[in-house]
Amino acid sequence: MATDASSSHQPLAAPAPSEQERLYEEAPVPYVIGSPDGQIKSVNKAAAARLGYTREALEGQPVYVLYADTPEGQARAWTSLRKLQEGAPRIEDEVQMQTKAGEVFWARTTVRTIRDAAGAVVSHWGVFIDITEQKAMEQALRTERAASEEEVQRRTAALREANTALRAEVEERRQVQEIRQKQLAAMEASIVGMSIHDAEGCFTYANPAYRDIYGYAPDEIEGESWKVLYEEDEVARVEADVLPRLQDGKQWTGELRGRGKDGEAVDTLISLTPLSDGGLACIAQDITEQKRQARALQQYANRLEALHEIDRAILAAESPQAIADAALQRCTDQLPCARASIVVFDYEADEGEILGAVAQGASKLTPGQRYPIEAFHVTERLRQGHAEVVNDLPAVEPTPVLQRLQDEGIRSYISLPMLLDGRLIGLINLGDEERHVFTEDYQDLMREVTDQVAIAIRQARLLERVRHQAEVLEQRVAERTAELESFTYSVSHDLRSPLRAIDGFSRLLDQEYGDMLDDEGERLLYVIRTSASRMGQLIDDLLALSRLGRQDIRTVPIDMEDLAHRVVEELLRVHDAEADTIDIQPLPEATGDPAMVRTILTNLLSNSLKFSREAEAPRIVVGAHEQEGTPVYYVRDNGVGFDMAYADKLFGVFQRLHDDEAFEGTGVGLAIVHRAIARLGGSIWAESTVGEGTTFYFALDDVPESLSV
Amino acid sequence: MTMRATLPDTADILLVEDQPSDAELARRALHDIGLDGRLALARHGTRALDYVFARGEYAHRSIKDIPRLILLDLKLPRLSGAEVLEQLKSDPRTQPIPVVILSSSQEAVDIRRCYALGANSYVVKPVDYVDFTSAVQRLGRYWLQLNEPFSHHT
Repeated sequence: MATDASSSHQPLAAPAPSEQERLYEEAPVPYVIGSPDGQIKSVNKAAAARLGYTREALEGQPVYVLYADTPEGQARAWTSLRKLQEGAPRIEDEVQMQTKAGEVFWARTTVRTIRDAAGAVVSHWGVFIDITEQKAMEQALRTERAASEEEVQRRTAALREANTALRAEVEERRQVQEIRQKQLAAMEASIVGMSIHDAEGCFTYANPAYRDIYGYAPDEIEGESWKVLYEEDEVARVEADVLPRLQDGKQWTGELRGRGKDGEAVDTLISLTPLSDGGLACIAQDITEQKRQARALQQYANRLEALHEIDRAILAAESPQAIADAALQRCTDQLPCARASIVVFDYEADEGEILGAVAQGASKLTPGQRYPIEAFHVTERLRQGHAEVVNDLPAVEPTPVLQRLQDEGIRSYISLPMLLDGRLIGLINLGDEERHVFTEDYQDLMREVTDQVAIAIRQARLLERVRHQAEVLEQRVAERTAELESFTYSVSHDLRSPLRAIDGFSRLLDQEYGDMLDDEGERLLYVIRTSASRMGQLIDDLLALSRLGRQDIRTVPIDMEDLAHRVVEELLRVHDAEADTIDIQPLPEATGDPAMVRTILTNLLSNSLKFSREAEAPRIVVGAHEQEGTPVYYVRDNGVGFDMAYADKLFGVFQRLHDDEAFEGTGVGLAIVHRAIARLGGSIWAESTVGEGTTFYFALDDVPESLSV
Repeated sequence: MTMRATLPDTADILLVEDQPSDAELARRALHDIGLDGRLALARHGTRALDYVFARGEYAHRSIKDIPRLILLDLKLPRLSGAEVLEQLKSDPRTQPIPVVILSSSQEAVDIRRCYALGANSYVVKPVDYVDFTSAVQRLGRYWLQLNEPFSHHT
């Protein structure tokens, strides 16, 4: 073995040639002897056999041929040789060698340098061992080792993974447990009833809210069937309609009427969900109160609707009879009953009048009929405002009236009092051939109807009275108006005629018998004639005043200045006055009734002319100014004036502030002005100083309060 | 001067007036101008119509003898002036007779109504004697002397 040979570093003494040669020749180990310059000196049989050369073919060949003809193989050969030439005594190496046939194989080589006694290099002895198989095994071993390493790592990872999964599962279970506990706590605390049933429908769980709905103590209901909570017909309904649906795996939600432990009805909203184990989860909500409220609301709505209907009918009716008809018709439409009537009492006649009656079939009562009050079975309860209700007529002690009703087939009966201001004014009576027709709701509704009818009847009576009074008043007004007109007419005719007679005959007396009268006689006749004339004027003025009130008003634009000129012209003819006494300033246009405005101007101006007549230089100014957008006209004189203390009497009829005979007048003129102004919607006021003069202001439109004095 | 109880069979002026004083003042006024000779005075509407239509108390008259002027007061006992006017104007035989309303009423409604019924004129009686006399005299002169009358005889 070459490895053995490497154990000694001492140069070997040359063996006996034969022995050496035999050993060399026959050794199963391939040997190669090289010269120091790198040429093959010889190879043994084993080497030649392994390399595929003849021994002779290799002798003299460079050692390189033994190496793999690859760059790497040749490089190794070169390296080894150089190391040897540099004096390396021994080289062990693993190299790739090549046979003559080109087979490349791995070999472990050991090369030793052989020196002579002087130390000079004689040769290099090399031995090589084919380690291809070993290499392959090593490779296989290496591969196997790597594989097992990988497996270990894989298993370790798998284990680690399994461990993690296990931990996660433990955590998950812990969380699930926690959630379950929370869920249970939530269910326990829930205000909604929850229960769980097994496949047979028995309770396995019911939360407190659920137990509360039906009034069960904890653990009392567990194990019981759901059927304990329902009456038979409801159980039947659930079995027929609900269970098949659940068996199909569907949910069901609906209302069920249950029964509490105490036997009281409980309305519930139930939601049922089938569970995978064949059981059921149930959610229940107590809706007894909602249902009750809903029913109450519905009843209330029904009642309102009925009342509304009746109200409408009542409102549309005008007379008490029409109200009664409308109310009864609607009542019997809304609340069927065999007969109904309304009676009102006339206490003065001690009678009751049938105001209205409806009945199925022939009725004995017809509207307008009157009966003694005692025939109407008016009880003390009715007088107190309470209804009389009999729901089973044969069961009560019969009075004559009740007996009669019973004989007529009536079994249910209600009599409702109509009270006004605490006084029983009538009754509404309803009857039916069935027993127990008039329920509490019915009674409530009828009470309200009765109140409505009572009020409506009162309204109708009041209305009738008001209408009657209005008619009477209208009649009276018409009569008075006619009287007044007739009076006015009489005044105009009847008073004028005698006046004319007085005037005419006193003149005739003067004409025909004047020479028989002395001065005093003449004076007396004159007094008669002037009195008659004054009275004539009075009558004319009064008629003018009354006409003013009745006259239609036209509203047109008026040229005030022009009108003032025309009025003045006319007045100057009548009153003996100088034309330059009156100064008409520019006047703004007005809107009003020309005839009335003319009357106003005429009276004011003649008034001024009269009271300034005695002035030294009479002066009258007609003018206007604007105050807050409203034209205010005025007539100013420098006459005698009046005491403002009496200003409020200025415009009264027959009011005269001067008793001076010089200013004789009827006292109607300013009243006429005042009425004309009032009719035009304007206003008038005056300012005056005794001895200095008077100014009348007037406006034809509304003027601000502040302007008038 | 006294009032005759019955009316002359023929007259130029028929005065329908219930007030004796007014009647007398009117007569005097007409007298002063010489027109009172053929004046008939009816004190109420019925008599006026009987006279004109020649019936009742005046059946012996001829309806053709129509007055040349009727002075008619409105306010009359029994039949009112307006009713008398209406009957006169709705009969073709009396329709042509000039009817002058002589009334104290200045009421527009009266005036309108009378014209609607066919009054030939409407005069408001002045209260003053002088004015009254003058008005009656002017009416007499106009209708009897100036106006050409309708006549059934021509």
